[in-house]
Amino acid sequence: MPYSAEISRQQPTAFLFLLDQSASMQEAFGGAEEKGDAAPSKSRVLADTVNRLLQNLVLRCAKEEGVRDYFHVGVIGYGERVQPLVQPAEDFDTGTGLIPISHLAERPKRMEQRVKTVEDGAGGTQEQRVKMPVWFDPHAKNGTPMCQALDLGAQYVRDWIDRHPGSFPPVVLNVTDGEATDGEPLRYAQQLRSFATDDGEVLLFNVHLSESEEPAVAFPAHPDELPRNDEYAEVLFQMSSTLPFTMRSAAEQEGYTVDLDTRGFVFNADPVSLVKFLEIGTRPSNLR
Amino acid sequence: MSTRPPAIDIRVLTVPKEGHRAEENEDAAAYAADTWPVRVAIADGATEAVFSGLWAEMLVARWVADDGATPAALAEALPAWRNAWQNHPAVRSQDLPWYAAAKAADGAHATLLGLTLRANGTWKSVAVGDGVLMHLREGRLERAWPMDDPEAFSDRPALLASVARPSPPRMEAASGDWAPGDSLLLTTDAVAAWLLRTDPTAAPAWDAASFAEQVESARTQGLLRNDDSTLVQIST
Repeated sequence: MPYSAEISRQQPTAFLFLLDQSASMQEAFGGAEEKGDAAPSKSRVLADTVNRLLQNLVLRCAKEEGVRDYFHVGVIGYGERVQPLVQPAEDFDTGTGLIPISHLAERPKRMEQRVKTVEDGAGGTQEQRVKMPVWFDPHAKNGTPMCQALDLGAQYVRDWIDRHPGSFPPVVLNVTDGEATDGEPLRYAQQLRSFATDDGEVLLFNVHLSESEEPAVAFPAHPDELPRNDEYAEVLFQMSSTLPFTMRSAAEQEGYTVDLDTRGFVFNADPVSLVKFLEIGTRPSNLR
Repeated sequence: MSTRPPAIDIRVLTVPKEGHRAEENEDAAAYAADTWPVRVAIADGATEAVFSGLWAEMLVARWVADDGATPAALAEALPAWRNAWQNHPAVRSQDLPWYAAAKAADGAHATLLGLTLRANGTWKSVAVGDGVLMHLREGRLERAWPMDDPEAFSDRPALLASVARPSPPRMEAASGDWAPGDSLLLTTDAVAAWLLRTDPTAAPAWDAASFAEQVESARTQGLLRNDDSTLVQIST
């Protein structure tokens, strides 16, 4: 069965993030509770989401003696430039633009103190101080060279697959507000998705952050589930991989209605469904 | 009750997951067999948490030393055991990196299976999760408990947490009779599913080397899931 390879240190899988850093990301995020001037910018939502997701990935691999390299991670920002946002140190260089997750875990840009409310086990709650790692800050400038980003991403995953032909295939997460300014991204998406390990083709998931205040759409199976007047949503939907079996069951466990055509795509996602989406996309059910 | 020391032979055989070092094995086993009742326990620490191996070690050591032989006694003993884990210097260390500290706050998790044998020929057992007791008599499997279906094992067994939880996990209890010459096996989940799917009757005779060989061969054939694999043999 495809998409069932065991994920281990000997046979890691890869996560590659493509982050839209174009000027339009300065606009307000429509899916937030706060509206108007109080709403966070899309670039703020993107940074928070990616920091939380990376934290989540690190925690899945963390043991008391250190972080086990079940995952290799890459981040490509696209806006003013198309560039890798995490760099391997020499002794960690995998030669693919992706770095072992332990390297990322040890080098956040800074740690922020947050207060978290947790259950105290006796029916009440208590406040706990937790340290939150921050790797990325909001950034928004210039156009949206999504095609170039998909192309660079394709190079990264191709090189990575050459070194890990038996692994669970790389998962690419593209977080954007939608409009590519450098061509037709569907073609580049198809090229990216055509690379495969013995376990299956590369998975490309798209997370659409929009200023529109329409309700979120998570895991649509058909284009008619998308808001009718948004051409970018349609393109991003077409670019997205269908969910493989293991991820469909994870989505179902989270209460989503899924079928064989369900795609790894969220439109106009509020931060909560966005994180849920990403957590499902990164749940290593076969992690050993 | 007999005052003679128990003539019971107990051996612990364990192999870590393939690709893991022996010190990364998060299964644990302990026994107390110098006097009646004889007490044996195994625990399987959950990979996703930190300090699960430590929690599994503490659970089996305390279970064979304290009286946690029934679900009620186990529930009563648990707060002190949790306290010991939470106050362990390794867990409390201020030097933990952010990721280990964050996970330590969520606690460690492990299954636990304990077996008490009495001189009068009775046994009782308590279980949280999917460790399995197999009772063999005259070359056949008399009983497997609390699970006897190799297909029923899942990724989400009941687990004992090392921090307080709003609702306690499902604790099960069973009892039965044993006779001299019987073999009892305690197995962690992967070994249990494999032996139930194949044949447990040869297992009482394995030694460390043959167990390791059997595990390796079963993993290669896809009969045994790649997991920490523990077998405790109790020969009466």
